[in-house]
Amino acid sequence: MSDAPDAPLLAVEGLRKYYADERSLLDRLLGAEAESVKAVDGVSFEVAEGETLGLVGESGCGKSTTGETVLRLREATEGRVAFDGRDLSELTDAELTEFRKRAQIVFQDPFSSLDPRMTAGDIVTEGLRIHGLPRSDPTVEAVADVTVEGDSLSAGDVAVRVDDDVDRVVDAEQRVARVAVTVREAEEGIVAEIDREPDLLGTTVESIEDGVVVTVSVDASDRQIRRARAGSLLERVGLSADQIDRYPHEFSGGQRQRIGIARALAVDPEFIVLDEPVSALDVSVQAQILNLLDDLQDEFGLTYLFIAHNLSVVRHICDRVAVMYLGEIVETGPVDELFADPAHPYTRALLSSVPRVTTDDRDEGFETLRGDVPSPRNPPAGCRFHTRCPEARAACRESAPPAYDVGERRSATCFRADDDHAYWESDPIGENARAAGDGAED
Amino acid sequence: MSRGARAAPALRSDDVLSVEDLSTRFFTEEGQVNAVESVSFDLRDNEILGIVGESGSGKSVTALSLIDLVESPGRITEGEIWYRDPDLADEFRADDAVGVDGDHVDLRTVPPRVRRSLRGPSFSTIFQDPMSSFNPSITVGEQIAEAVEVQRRANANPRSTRSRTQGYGLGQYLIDGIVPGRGYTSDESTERAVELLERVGIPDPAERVDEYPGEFSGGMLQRAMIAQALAGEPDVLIADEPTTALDVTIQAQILNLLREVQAERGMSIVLITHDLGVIAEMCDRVCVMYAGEVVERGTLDAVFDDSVHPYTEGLLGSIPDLEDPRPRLQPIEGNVPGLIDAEMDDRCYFADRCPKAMESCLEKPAERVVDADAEHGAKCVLADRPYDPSEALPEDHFGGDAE
Repeated sequence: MSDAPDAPLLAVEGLRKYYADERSLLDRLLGAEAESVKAVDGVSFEVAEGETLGLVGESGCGKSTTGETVLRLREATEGRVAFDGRDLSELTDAELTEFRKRAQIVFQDPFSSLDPRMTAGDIVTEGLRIHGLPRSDPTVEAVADVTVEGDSLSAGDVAVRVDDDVDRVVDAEQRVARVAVTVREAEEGIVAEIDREPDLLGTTVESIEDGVVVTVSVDASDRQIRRARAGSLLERVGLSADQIDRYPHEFSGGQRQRIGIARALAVDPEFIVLDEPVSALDVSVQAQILNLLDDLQDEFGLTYLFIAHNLSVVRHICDRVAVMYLGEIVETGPVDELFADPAHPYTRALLSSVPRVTTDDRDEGFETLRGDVPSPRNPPAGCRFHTRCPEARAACRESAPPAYDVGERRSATCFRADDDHAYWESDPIGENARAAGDGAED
Repeated sequence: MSRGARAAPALRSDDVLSVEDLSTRFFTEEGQVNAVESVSFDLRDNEILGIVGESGSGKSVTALSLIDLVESPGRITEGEIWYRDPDLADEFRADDAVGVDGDHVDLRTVPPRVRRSLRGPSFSTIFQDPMSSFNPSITVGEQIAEAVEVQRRANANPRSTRSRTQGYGLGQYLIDGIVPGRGYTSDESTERAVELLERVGIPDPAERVDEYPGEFSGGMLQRAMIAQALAGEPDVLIADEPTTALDVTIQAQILNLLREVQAERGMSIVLITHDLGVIAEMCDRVCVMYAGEVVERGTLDAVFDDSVHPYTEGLLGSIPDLEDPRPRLQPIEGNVPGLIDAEMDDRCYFADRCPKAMESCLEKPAERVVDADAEHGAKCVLADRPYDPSEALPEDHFGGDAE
């Protein structure tokens, strides 16, 4: 898609999203500043084409807001989001509509994210309708592979014309929409048959002087084409095409999530934000959906931004991970390296908090963090993690660490990555600072 | 009534609780729902017993049945819940209507007021969602002090099986309206509430005791709920998905806390969760539930490492491993069945999703004991004999609409 092969599909730089509190009348009279919740506070990352980036963190760390801001479902307070090289904030309305077709989202809760008054088919086709699909792409060529059967006909006698808009029904591969046409002689004369979508495509056979002309054209309304596409999408995500007229309440949670995925796939996107797509599901169903997402990525060449709090799931599905804490990314890196050797104390704490599904090495007790996540309304000064960090020293309170390089394509915002930093000389702050941190959240 | 006629194994003296063939049904407009179907298990002294299953497996209803909190249209229709309480056993030994066996009493046969009186001092519960389990308009401290007060009054009058919360109803409310400052709780119980909050790791407990639930974070509130549960000094703590609503670092704190208080007080915990990781870290013994039944039970090692039931294997295969991300998960196909009685065939309920379903699975499997000392059991024919592909059910046996 992009000009340079290595250019990321999505590049986010210094993204900030603040939610301002309403000021009461009294606040206005007293001239008090509106307090804002810094949900996302300076986040930068890139997602390469075909890659899955995991955005992981605890509730309130800003991961979902990041996902929604990246899609311009929320307007960023500050920062730049570039999709395929274009800055999203500079898009015209028409370009934004096009972007919305290329970038889709699957939500966490399959119960509240599907309109209960729409059938599965309506839900899946809604995006197609909005984007005026199916639409013929003028750069796509329509081609027929002709087979001639029967003795009285020779290939030279048959000419096949394919209407340009056949690509509305037949998916193009490398800019060519291909149909196979079999022409043979039957009792009622010469007939032509098409290998697929017999309900949507039609043929007319016209005899001319020295043979026949077969024309392949779309013989269905847009509505029928969309419905057929919805049916095949439902089948692709593991439902049955017969279920197209059912309403969401007739489906289980896992099936609803499949509908949500079919809806996202309908407009043929390149990039999908998966916002906790499996956290509302039972483990056995969760595994089905994870496998499905894996398969779809391979099949359609999708790029995923996978937002999750479950580290095992992230480990399973992602190529790279960004760990968020209080609106900031504290560590990024390829998933194997990051999980094997976490550089940031927060990542380490997250990993050690996960209960392992194994009976060996059952240690007594987890290594846990103290206290709660401080409020993003009033995050701690310096390193935001210092109030809970087992490694915190005085230096961490004074200034916020930048992102240090900690390996190939890896970075961590922790002074411990810098061997020469004044951190190493300063005093541990331990318990006192933690107590102060607990107080600060009130 | 004596226990002699029953075919079940004798009660062990270290069983705090022994549940036999418990069935709970809901009589809804759609039909009878068999939420819990002939569930049996024991809870021993000083142990954490895990009950694991997916949503709709009946694990929470099992918990509610233990403490007699099943609400209409649900009802416990069958079964025995033997609870060890020598005092109670003595009290009812002469009563023919009440099942007594040694120190154990069948709670299903005692009068409802007795069951009610056991809630708090004998059984305590922690629920999944701390936000909705506390009354938002009463301070956290007062709600804990209330529980302390219930326990204090129970201790002061141990022979009374009358509910200790009686007298805290409408009449008390009206009197409180007329005579201010005459609360149910006292300074002593509030002081005890502060101690309990401190025990569960709430910072500045003396101040926070006067805060309302809305001022607590989710993790803090879950700690407060544990404090409230401890107030009654119970023998049995039922923890129903206690960490499901919490973040993973907070979950680790709460699990550590539960383990500490369990060891400290020597209580027994029934830990109900869908998270096999939590089970693996916490529990001594496990019951795996599916479609209202305990399909496999045993020690943690037996169930996790030598599982017999394909459902247990399927659950374990569905989980992405943190250390070793296998390229592909092995999910269980299909969905958890609905539990409407009329729609349930008399067969192994898992057969339609089971990769090893055989013809003999069309008969309801009884529980089979797997190991010598009867600790490990499974409701599956595979406990008796290996899978035989020649007897496999055809794939479309249950119709194509399995998904």
